[in-house]
Parts: sequence; structure tokens; C-alpha cells
Amino acid sequence: MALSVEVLRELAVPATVGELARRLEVPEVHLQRELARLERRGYVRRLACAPTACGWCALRATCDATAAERWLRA
Amino acid sequence: MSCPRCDANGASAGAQDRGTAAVVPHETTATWCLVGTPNVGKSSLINAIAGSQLQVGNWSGTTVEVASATTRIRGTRVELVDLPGAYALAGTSSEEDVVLPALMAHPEALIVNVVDATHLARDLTLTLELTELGRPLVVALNLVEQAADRGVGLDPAALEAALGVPVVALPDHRRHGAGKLVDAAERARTTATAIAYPEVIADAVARLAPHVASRWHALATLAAEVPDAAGAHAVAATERATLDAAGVDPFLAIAEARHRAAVALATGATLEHERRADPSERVDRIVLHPVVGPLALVAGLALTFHLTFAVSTPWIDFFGLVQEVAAGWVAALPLPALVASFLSGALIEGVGTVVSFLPVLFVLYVLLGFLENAGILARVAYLADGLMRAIGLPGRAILPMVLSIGCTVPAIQATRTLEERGDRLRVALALPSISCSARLPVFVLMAAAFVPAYAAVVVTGLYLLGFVVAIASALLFRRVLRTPESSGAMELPSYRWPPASLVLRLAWARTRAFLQSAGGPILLVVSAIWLLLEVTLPSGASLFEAVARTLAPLFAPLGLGDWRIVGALIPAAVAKEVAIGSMALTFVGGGDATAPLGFLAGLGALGVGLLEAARDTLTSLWGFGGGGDEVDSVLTARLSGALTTAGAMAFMVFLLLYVPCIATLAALRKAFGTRWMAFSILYQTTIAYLLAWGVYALWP
Repeated sequence: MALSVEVLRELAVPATVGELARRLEVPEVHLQRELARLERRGYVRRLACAPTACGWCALRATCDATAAERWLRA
Repeated sequence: MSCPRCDANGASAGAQDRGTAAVVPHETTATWCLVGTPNVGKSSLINAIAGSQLQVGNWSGTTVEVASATTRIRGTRVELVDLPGAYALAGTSSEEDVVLPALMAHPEALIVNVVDATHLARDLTLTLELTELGRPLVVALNLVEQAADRGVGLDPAALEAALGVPVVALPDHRRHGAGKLVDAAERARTTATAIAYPEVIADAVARLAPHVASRWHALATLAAEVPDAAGAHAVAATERATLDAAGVDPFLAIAEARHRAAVALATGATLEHERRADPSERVDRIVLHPVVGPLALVAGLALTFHLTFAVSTPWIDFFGLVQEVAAGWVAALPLPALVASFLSGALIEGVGTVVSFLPVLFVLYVLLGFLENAGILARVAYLADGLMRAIGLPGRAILPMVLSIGCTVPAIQATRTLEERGDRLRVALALPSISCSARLPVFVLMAAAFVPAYAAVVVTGLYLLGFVVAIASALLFRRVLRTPESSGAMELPSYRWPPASLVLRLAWARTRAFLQSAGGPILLVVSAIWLLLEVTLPSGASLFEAVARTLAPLFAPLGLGDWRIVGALIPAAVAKEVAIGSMALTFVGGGDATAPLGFLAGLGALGVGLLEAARDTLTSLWGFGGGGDEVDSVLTARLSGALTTAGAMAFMVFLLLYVPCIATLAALRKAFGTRWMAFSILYQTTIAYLLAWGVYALWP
């Protein structure tokens, strides 16, 4: 449960699993399980990206949303 | 000791019986369950207390199922139960899911909560959950010196006062800490640490608690983390509806309250707040460099095998001398010819030759044990992360592959740390291609016979080939099985210098386990081969020879036309190392009359051989591999006359890749079913034949 609280606090801003793992010093495999659990409960959601729109997006040069999925507190 | 639970607890009973064991009519027993977050050092602590050899490693997920060791502590027989790491009692994975049931299955057990001092607040949340189980508890603060390196000092006494249960700080050299923990266990007690839950939650728990096993169960029921207990469903549903109507989310409310309490406890027990940089980070800047890292990885692998050869070769020679002396003694005894043939042929030559390669395994296990426990294997996995992602596997999938260097069976079990079944299956099917330690003695023998000057290079190459085939197989299975892409990098634990005693004990345990598990099949198979060699057909050939000659044409395209070589591959399907015993029997066993040897003369020769082996070992270490570089024996001499170098290479490649051993097949069947086990046999044999054929055809 400690992890749940820490993850929810971190996800006030979108983050990838890797970023969360580095910040919290927790193995990614455990974070993925925790995120899955929190997602099932409706506390977090995946930040959807529309790949078809990327070609028109002005921020495409700096955005890495297609490289790694981001999570956000629901 | 006023609490009836403590009085009923075996550990406490053991404490009271200290020094009075003689007057106790029956042996007292106790159970300690070790609970903590992943990679906090539970297994290492058990090994320090019990002198056991549980699998340990410096990464999370080393323990994937419940294991235990038994020891005697101050007159009490104590079972130490090692549970997989978990961040919370309500698990989120198959490993974590076993923690709570294991604790409930040992209602009398003392709970030893191993806490990571470098992440105190997070780990104390689990501690608070454990206190709510209402069970006797001891807290063991581990990694205290690493916390100090980060500038975090701890006050165990303050934490003990706040928590209400004994708290002991373990030094990094856990053997000394084990005594402190035993002392603390004598003071174990239950506690009721006040956690400021919202009033509506506290009221609901009070109403629900009489219907469930503990206060923790009441809270978990409200948060819908566990199924409702039988008879508690109606009350639980009512309480949840009440909370819902009040706009309270029990999961979040409980989690926040526990977290706040844990942070307060951690703050009160922390002496210094200023943090220094982790020394591991400075080392990692070099080791994990994108260019330097992979080069260091290959160099490290080559160095590992070079040291394995350099240190173990003198002892292989010594075991060879033991065989010669034993054969001389047998020849001096007035035994019937058949008995003498069995002793000198099957036992001394067949089994003895396999046993003579145990030093190779021991040295390899020492080096692997060091790499595992120092945190270096985790770096290997990290460096391989990009490669793993390229084939659609999470980075930590490399760990079972690295573990395969020791033995494929625990490596298959280690695939359980992967989330997706498809990933587990792909990795497990790829693992038999990686050379395990059982294949190493055969490679050492063949390389010494055919390419003595490049033995280490050839063996390193075979290991790399195994990895390449495994990676290619995983990629192929991805397309065939159409598994989704996975991710998840390997985490990096801090470097730790493992105690020499731990590394040596683990190496000894693994060598002994190898001997125990392989000894039976080796003796059985070698005896069977000896018997088949003794049964002579009308043509004059033995039955074994006739069978091997029948199969020989199949292997002729691989350059393996000699029936004795083909004969070695048949029993090696049971266990790869049996190939040596088979070749020792067919090439050497009973073929030459051994000169009788007196008992004292034999002892003298052994004494001289022992001293020479010790001297050569020191020379090889001091001179960086300057000791014996070749395995000199009758067998290697005769092997080199029976095969070409190209044929020997094809033989090693075929042995590396063909049908997995019986134990591996059993592990595959247990994990994935008979169908996949059969597939593995077919797949491995096919690629072994094709690659061995290719090597033979292309070898210059």
C-alpha cells in the first residue's frame, strides 16, 4: 500500500514506468503490477496518444510519447 | 511475556528454555517467517543464521516460492521460512500472493520483518500491516551501512519505542547480526501501533473485526483487497456501502493513513537527513557506459572461464591421479575378473572421470556466486536490456538466461518473475540452448584434447553460441507464438561485497547438489553401459557397440562416425555429463591392464599429487593462469585419435544444443505441460543437428 500512495503522488504529472522506477527506486516489474492494480481500481489511466495525429503535431520533435507509454492519476 | 500469543510462540519458549534444555522432556520447536520487500536480504539472513544454502542473489525476485531451513537456536529447533519479497500483504503477483497464505498457515510463527534501512518509510508501511495481523513480531533493520553511506543514520531504539516491538540493526556482515536477532526474538511480542485511520474507517473495522481473522483482514476486506471471509459477507457489504455513502474510499483512506504513520515512524528513527551520492552510481558511470560496458561484459565472461580453467586444472589432474592410484589398488587385490572389471572400468574410470571435473564446477560456482551477490549479474542484465527489448522481452528476462550457466532447472523456475505467460514460455524454451555447468566438463575434456592452446576461447565461444541460439529462438518463438511486446528494465541494486564464507558455502552447496542429483543417474547409466559392453554378440562386438554402430550413419554427416562418440551421445540425453563416463568406458575402461600398486606407495603418490595441485593452483593465481593449461590424460590422447578437430567441434555443438536433460524436461513439463516439453525435445534436437552439420562442413 505504501507503493500505491507513492505512485499516486508521483502520477500527479504523467510519467513512464521507467521514470517512476528511477524516482521511487523500485523495480519496474513491481511498478507494472502496482499500476495494473491501480488501473483496475480506476485510480490511474494510461495517457492515450493518437499516433495518426503525430505527423501534424507541433511538438513532435520533442515528444517521446510514442517511445514509452505514460501513466497519469485518474 | 504477558501476551498469551508470545507465550505460545516457540521462539519465546525457546528463550525461556535457554540453558535448561536438559530438563525438557521433548524438543521444543518454533517457526520464524521472514517477511520483507524484494531484495532486502531475507534469504541471506536465513543463511547466516542457519548456515543453510538458500538461493541468494543481489536482485529482486531471487526467491520465487516459499523455502525454508532448519537450525537449532538455544535448545529450540527453529524452522526459518523464507518468503518471496512483497511490498504489501495483499499481493499483486504470483510470488507475492503466497506471502499472506504462508503466514496464515503458520499461526504460531514468529514474524521477522526484514526492513530496508535505505527505504525506511516504505518498508515500515509493510511493518504496520504486519502489526495489524496481531502476531509476535521482530523488526530487523538491514542494509544499515548502505543507508549510512547515503548519509542516513538510524536510531533502532527510537523505532523500537515507537513501534512497540523489538528492533535490531543488522550489520552488513550478517553472521554477527544473527546473534542480535536471536536475542531480539526472545523479546518478540504483539503490538498495537496506533494508526490514525479516519473515524468512519475505525468504526467500520471495530464492527467487522469479530467476523474476520485479524484487524488487518478487517481493513483489507473494507478495501476489497481480499475476498470476504465466510460469514462476514453481509457485514462487509453493509460497511462498504456505509463508507461509500459517506464518500470515503476505504482503499485510499487506509493507504494514506498507513503511509502517514510510516513516514512519522521513519522520521522519528532517522538521525541525519543529509544524503550523499550512492557510491554505486559512480562505479556504474563506467561499468554501464554504452561502449565500455559491453566490452567489459565480454572481457568479464572470458576472464571467468580463464580463471575457471586456470584454478581447476591442477585439481582435475589430481583427481586423475586418484583414479590411477585407485585402479592400481584394485589391480593389487585378488578379485574375480568381472568384479575387478566393474570396479576399475565402471566405477573408477567411468564415474571417476565425471567426478574428476567437479573442481571445474566448484570454481565456476564460486565465480558465479560472487557475481550474483555483488550485484554484477544485475548489471549484466541491465546492459542486455536493449537486446532483450529488441526481441520483445523485458530486460529482466536475461536473468534466467544468466542463471542457466549454472543449471537450467532453477533458471526455468526463475522465469516465474516474468509477468506474461508468453514471455515465460519463450524464455523457458530458449533456455536449454544455453550451456549449463553439466556440459562444461565435456567441453573442457574435448577442448583439452583437440585445441589445448585455445581451450578457454573455444569454451567461451560455445557459451556465446548458446546465448546467440537462445536469443534467436526467443525471437523465433515471438513470431510463432505471436506474443505481445513486453517491457520492464532490470533494476540496479547497490554493489555489495559478498562475504567469502557465503560465496564458498553457496559454491559448495551447488557442487554437492550437482553430485547428489547427477550421481545416481551417472552411476546407473555408466553401470548399464559397462554391462552392455560386457555382453558380447556372436559377431564379437559388444551389445553397446552394436547399438551405437547402428546409429552411427545418422551422425556421419556431422563427422561423428566413431561408434564410441555416438555411444556417448545416447546416455548423455539423461544427463549431459554422462558423456564423459561413457567415453571413459569405451575409450579407456578395462582396455589396459593397470599395474598393481601398494597401499603406502599409493598414499605417497597422492600426497605428492596433492602438494603439486596446491602449488599449481597458487602458481596459476599468482601468475594469472600460468599453471597447468591442459588436461593430460589417456582419454584425451585417445579421443584426439578418434575424431578430427572439425568433428570434435561438431560434437560439442551437438551436445550443447540437443535434447535437454531429464531434469530440465521435468521442469518444463511442470511449468508448461507435456506438449511444450515434447516440442522442446524436437526443436533442440533439430537445431543441434543442423548447426553441428554446419560447423563440421565449414570448419577449416
